[in-house]
Amino acid sequence: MPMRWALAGGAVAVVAVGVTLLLTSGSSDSGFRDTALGVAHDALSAVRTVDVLSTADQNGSLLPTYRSRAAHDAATGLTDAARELESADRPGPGSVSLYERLDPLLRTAVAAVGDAESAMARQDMGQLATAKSRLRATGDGLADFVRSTR
Amino acid sequence: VKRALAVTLGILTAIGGFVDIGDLVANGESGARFGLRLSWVVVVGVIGICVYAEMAGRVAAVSKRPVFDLVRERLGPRVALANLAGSYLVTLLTLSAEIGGVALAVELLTDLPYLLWVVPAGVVMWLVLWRVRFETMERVFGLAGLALVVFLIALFALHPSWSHLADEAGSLPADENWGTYGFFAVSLFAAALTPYEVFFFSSGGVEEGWTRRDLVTSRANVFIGFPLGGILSLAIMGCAAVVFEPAGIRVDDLSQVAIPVGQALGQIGLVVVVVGFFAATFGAALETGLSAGYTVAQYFGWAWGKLVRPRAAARFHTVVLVSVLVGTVLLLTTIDPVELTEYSLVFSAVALPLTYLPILVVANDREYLGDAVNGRLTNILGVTYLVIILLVAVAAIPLMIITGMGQS
Repeated sequence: MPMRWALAGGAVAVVAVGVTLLLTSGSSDSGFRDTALGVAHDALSAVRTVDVLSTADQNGSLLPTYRSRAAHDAATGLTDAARELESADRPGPGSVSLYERLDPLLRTAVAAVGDAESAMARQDMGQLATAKSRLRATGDGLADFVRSTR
Repeated sequence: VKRALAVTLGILTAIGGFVDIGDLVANGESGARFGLRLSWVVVVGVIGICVYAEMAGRVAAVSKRPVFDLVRERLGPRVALANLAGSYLVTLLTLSAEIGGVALAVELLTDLPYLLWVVPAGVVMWLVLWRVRFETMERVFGLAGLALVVFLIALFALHPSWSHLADEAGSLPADENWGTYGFFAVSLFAAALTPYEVFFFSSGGVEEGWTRRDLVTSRANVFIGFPLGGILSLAIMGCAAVVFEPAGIRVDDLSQVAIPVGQALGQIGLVVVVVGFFAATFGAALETGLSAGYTVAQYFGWAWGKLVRPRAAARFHTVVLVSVLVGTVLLLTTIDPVELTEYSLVFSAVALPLTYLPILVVANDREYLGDAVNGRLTNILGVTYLVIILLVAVAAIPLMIITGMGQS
């Protein structure tokens, strides 16, 4: 019986430590840095996914229903990432500075993804080409952010 | 000729039925994050499922009773209850994730939100479970799941640099850490050894009336069908490795998993891959739905199975219906099906010892198997895998917490 209680106590302790770590991870500069990195990764994924989709669409490789849904999934992922950054605590000047670097990149990313999504929906290849170059530039900006913040 | 045809059909069904939502998600995600660096885990997992599915099939064919019918008798009601609780809950989570996968596949073909498809998917699934013969159900969805071979074709059509992929094997990507590597290794291992697979395999063997003569069919399914199914898993990982890893894209949606196929093979490839998603997830949803009923009915000693008239196995069918209902309602809470899949893999990993230890015990019992008990090699492999399974089970939750579900 005591052995069982010890095991159960150990399991509860592991979970409690984990939950504490999760709950406190955003309340310091380093916690915010982790959040910002995660958000930047998600945004980078969304931007480059739409970039890959745009190229495939230019080649006529995508079904309309699939294209619309996949672009929508990426756009939703990006919006969720932007919302997560907005709602994260910024406890110190380091966090504020990181936020000020990442926030404009996210705004540009949301606009570029929106443009590409509407260009694909209307099959406007001219607008799609323009949106793609914005996607590339934003993707590179986000990749630089990830590299320099890691 | 008839026998050879049956064996071939069984193998094809095993290949097509091998991949489910867990494999699609885990292989897509890990390929995008780690390239082919975790491909060894798929190989280890496939060997593990072969070892244990062979034991489960042998127990069913020789004793004419499914493994879990014997667990309570052999290990007593308390141990069997722990086994039942862990296995049933994990199977229920997996069932819900599979129904979510079906809804996501239909979403990709219709562009209507997946939530609209959750209830129809649950209803159609239950009707199929209620009305369609076991063998027809297994064959149709297993064979349709072969559509996922398109990943293998796409991988070659993408002309990857094989030498580059191989060179990476010994190193971590610059922006990843060992914790995340471990988390995805656990997910891939759990995806290959999902508990419902052995429930379904052994109970299915009894449903199909296997005898000692069917051991050849059973072993061909396991030793040829499962490894070839594992190759499909590796192809999914490979496609993600070629298209997503160099671009720094992480896979969070089922729609992304199909992109490399569209890129390589165009619209026809996309249609085939989405049909493959549908078949794989629908087939797995049927298997998990039945497995939920099998585990509960076999523990309590109720009449069970598709071959028994529903009126004679009312409690079995009620458990199946309630499980499908709970799985459907869980998705209606708007939980993301991909996240649900990730959780189901982690909790599967935790529950693995509860499923696999009893198989090893029963497969060594001469009272049930006579001279068909495990040989020395099978026992060495079985014990080795049990140690791996225990390590994976212990590591799963800490890795989930430390890496924030692999997000760090």
